Amino acid sequence: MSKEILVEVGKYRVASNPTILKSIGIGSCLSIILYEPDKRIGGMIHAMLPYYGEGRDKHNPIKYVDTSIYILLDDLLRMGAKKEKIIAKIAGGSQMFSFLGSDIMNVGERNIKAAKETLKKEKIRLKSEETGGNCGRTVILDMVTGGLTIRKVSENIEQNI
Amino acid sequence: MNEEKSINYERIANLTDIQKDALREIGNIGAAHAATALSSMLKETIMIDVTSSHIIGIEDMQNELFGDPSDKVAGVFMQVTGSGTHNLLMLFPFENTLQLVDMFFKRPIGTSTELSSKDESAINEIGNVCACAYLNAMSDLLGITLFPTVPGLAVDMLGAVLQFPVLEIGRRVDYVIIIQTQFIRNADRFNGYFLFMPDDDVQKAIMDKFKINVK
Repeated sequence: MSKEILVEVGKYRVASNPTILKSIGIGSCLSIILYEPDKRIGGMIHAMLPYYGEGRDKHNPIKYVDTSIYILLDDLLRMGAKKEKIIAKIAGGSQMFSFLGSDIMNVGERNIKAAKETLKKEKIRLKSEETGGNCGRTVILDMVTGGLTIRKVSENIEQNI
Repeated sequence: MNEEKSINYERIANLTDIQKDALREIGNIGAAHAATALSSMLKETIMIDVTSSHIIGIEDMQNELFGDPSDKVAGVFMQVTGSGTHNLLMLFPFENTLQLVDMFFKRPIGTSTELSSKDESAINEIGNVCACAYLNAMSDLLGITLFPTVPGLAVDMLGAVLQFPVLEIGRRVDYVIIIQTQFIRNADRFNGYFLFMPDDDVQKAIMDKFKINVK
C-alpha cells in the first residue's frame, strides 16, 4: 500500500510516486491539485480563503487560494516538472448552510473563482472539478495515476474525477 | 498562524479558576433557559446539563470537539445582530441528532436511522429554540441587545460544517466559547454543543463582566 499523507486545513503537501494525499471534510474550503503525469509528481492544497490580498493573517500564504497555487507550482517546477504538462483539479467550495442571501455566505464560490482565475493566469489546464453544492467532501489523490477520488457523506457515494 | 494560536492559548491559560467558573456560569444560565424553552415546546420535562464550558482558539475547534473531521454531525448556525454581529452554532453528533428528533416526535428512542426533511425541520427548530433562549440569557446577563436571525442547517462531516464559521468569522474573531451540554429526558442523555462566537463588543462585555483581563 502507498503511504498516505493527510493535508490539513491551511496546509499543502508535495509528493512523488507512490504516495496518497488526502484531505478530509472539505466544505467551503477548496482543495487544489496540481499533477505532472510524466514525472508522477504533484501536490494538494487545502486553502481556506480566496485572496491573500484580502486576508487578515499574512503569515500563512497557503491559507489563500491564489498564493498557495503559486507556491505549489513553484515547488513542482523546482522538482523538475514541465509546466505545460501540469494539470489541475479542484474540489470543494460548498455552501454548507443554506440561508440568507448575504454575500459573506458565498466564500465557497469565491474560492472556486479565485482558483480558476489564478490557473488561467498561469496557463494551467483545469482538467476536472467537483465543486459547489452544499455538501462536504473528502478528497484522495493517487500519485500513481493522478486520479482524484471524492467521497461525500450526504450521498454516500464515491466518484473519480 | 502559529503566533495567533499561541496568543489564544495564553489567554486561556491565564484564566483563573474563578474566571473559568464565571464562563461556566454563562453556560449554565443559558442552558437552563434553553431547557425551559425546549420543555414547553415538547410539553415534557427536558433538562440540559452543562458538562463543560470553556474558551478555545477558533482554529482549534475541530480538534477540541471530536477530533475526527469525517464524523457526521448536524449543525444549526445563526447570525446574531444587535450590538455587533455574532455567530452561534449548535452542534449535535449524528447519533444524538437522531435521538433528539425521536424525542421531538415522541417516537421510541432509536427509531430513526436517517433524517427525513420533517426531521431536519425539527432539529433546526430545536436548535433555534435553544439558541434564542441562550441569547436571551446572555443579553440579560451582559445588558446588551442580541437579535437572532433565521437559522440554517447542515448535516455533514464535522470538518465541512465547522469550516464556514472558522473561515468567515475567523476573519474578525479569535476565540469561541464552547458549552458542552447533555439533554436529559428521564434516563436518556444526548450530547449537544453550543458554540458562541461573539465579536469584539460582546467579548469585551463578557470580559468586563467577569473582570477577565485579555492580554
